[in-house]
Amino acid sequence: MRQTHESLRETVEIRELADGARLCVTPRTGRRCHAVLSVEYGALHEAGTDRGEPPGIAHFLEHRLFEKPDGDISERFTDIGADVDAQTGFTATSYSVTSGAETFPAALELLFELAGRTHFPEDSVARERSIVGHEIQLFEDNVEWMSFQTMLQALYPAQRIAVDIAGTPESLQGIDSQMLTRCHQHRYQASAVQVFACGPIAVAQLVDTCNDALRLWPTGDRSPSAIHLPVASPGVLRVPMAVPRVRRMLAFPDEVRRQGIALMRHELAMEMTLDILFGPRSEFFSRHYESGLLDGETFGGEVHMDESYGFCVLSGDADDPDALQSVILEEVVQARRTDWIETDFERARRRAYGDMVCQWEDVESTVGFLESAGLRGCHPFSATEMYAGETAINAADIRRCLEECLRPERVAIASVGG
Amino acid sequence: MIADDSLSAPDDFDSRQPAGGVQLHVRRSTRFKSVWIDLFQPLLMRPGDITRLALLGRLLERGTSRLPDLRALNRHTDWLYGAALSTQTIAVGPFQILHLHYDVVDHAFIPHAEDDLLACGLQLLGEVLSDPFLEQGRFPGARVEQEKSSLRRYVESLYGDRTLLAQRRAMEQMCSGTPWALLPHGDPAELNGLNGDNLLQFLQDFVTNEPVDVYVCGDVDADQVEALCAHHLPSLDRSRRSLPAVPDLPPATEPRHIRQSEDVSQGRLVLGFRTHVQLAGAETEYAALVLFNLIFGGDAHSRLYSRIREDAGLCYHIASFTDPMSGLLFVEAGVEPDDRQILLEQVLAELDDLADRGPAVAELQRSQNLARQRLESAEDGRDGLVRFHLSRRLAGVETSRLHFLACLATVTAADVRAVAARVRLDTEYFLEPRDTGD
Repeated sequence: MRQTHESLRETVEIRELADGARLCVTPRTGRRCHAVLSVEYGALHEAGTDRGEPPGIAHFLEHRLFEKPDGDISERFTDIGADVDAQTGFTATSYSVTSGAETFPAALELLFELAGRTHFPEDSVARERSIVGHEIQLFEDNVEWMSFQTMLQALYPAQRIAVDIAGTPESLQGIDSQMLTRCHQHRYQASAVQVFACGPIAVAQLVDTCNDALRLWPTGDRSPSAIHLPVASPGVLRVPMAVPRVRRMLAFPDEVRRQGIALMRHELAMEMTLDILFGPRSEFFSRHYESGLLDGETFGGEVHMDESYGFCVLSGDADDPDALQSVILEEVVQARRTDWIETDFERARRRAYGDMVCQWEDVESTVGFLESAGLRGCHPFSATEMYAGETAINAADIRRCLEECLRPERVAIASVGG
Repeated sequence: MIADDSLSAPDDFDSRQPAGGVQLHVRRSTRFKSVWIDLFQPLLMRPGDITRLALLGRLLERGTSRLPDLRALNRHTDWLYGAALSTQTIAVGPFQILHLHYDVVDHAFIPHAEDDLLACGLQLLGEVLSDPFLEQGRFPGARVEQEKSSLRRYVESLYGDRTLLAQRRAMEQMCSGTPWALLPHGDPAELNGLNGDNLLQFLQDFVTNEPVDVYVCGDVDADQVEALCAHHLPSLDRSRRSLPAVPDLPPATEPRHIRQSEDVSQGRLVLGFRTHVQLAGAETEYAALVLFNLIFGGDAHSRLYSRIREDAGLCYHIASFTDPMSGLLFVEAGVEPDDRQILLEQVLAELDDLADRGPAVAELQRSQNLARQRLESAEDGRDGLVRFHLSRRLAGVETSRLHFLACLATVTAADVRAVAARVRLDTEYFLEPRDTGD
């Protein structure tokens, strides 16, 4: 089905592929094409060590799929002038490619081969265990990474979501070639695949390329995509680290599960809530920036929302992290009794609208938009309707976010350093 | 041979000089949803000045006389459908550049646009430079002090990135006493003595006397942009300074080997080389350096990555990169102290091999494809085109991107071998974990 958005001047075409896979394309002029092949298998799907899927196996599998009988498949991407990348998340693993228009069909075939065909010699599996071990160690020097992990541990203690997506050096020890093969066989099937693409693309040809490639993929029963539903149990956690100043994080869980457009709308509302209350334009930000309590470079909010989990984070470096924490919590309480949200709503909406339009600019960010809508089961154009017009988001949505999610009695507190 | 027509290949920008003296470069395209304005004002890095300009980069973002504080400024740009304004100081080779950026959604995508969003942007940039927020004729003391502490903290936190720390230390060793050893973020040790008066004086002299390049990209009319620039941007002095020449590096010495220890969990090795090739030199030679770097260590399939990381498993990451204006080449790797020596030997062995035998045909072709692909696809964006154009202007290179593309295709394996043969190790710098005594 092909649809055109008049005011955005963009087209989206959605097609069903073989065996339940789906394709979503925005064709346009230009030189570059970008595509993402998303497999519905991420860290939260891992069934556990006793069921042959230890923590970290989704990420490990993604890494090992790059090796093929004739060597590292990324060299074949480079040979045709394409850039390949892959990423394992909580609920999906994505393989992405960027290339020129003339090599795009070949690049996409390679992308399907990358994710769809296995070759796991035991010696390279062993070497990978040590490489990932190194990687985990290296990340321990990284403040951003340490902060994020510590925050997750404070919010969801002892749950899968709070363990590094890459697993731990111990959890990786049990992974062998047979286990990888079995995991791939069960998890990487056509029905788990969605492809998103943008660029100078002939859609009919792309459908054929995808369908031909999918024939080589595993078939049979796909393990049901049961997921570890994280249950928030907010606590307090401090991790020492050699940093000049303490990073303090406040994480608020969102405990209502949502799907589809309701989820996307809630995510946008949550982002606008943080923007209005704590963003660089807020009264809060200027007051505490002027007083020196808040560090302009590191202070900010983040929203993480999915069908299976949801939380938002406020964090920043501070000389006096306890003072920063208490002003944040006071602000949340204060905001309930004022009309800040209503008076600042139109500014925040205009900004969100402009940002959304600009997301349709690059092929990468356009595919990002298609992907965030597609993985939540929404049409990308329905997602654009949240920003303007009759069904657009409104101030009441923001107030609901404030009242339902930003509850001081449900906050998790994490600190890194000091 | 390069075909004659590529020598006159069209430039990516329509360049003009509006009244007032700035150099304007316009790229009209209907590809984008927004309009970008980038203003660059460079200064050769010097101790003292780097800190003045870095601090000003921060102060200018704090407010203008019309929009007196951060909040007023940001709320104004939000109201313009999420326009963004930023001011910062960046480095390109030996230059510190005051960079003002404004981007705004194209008015064609706004349901009921009441403002001319492009004119609003140029007006804002003009005000930021020539009409900053002042109290009693100077930058407010409290703001100056706040930005001094932000600058201190920022420079401190930069070095939380150990890889960057190791690279800076290596660069300081190799280029001491030259602009290359300095950072565009300023030096906290030079902050004392800077105040709202002397910073304003420095700014006024800088704004009227240093050359300015303005890039505007989007669905815009060049004549209209030219008129807006003449109207809104501060006029430069008629006797303004011209762009200074790129200075020389310190003379080469015997290779230095330096080890320092820090609180890191994994060692960081930086190898600094001199290549004898520069952006401002012969174009084919520079093209050969670009390809040499891709083959050697500048890409995920380069020799260093595939042989030393993947095959030998000696390190977590390894990559090479060049500083085009100085022609310095760096190799950077995360490595355990016990593997440092063997890693160094293997890097040098790969270099020797390229110098003795040159790249294989397939390697050369792959690097040419990759370089071509990147240069061609830069057209889909703006940042790449602008940076490419700007750094060539700063180096005094006048040929276009399309000309350089044609040049890359003519590079032979012998050209790459010739570049490799002149690469010399200058400094080995190793940042190692502190001995914890257990």
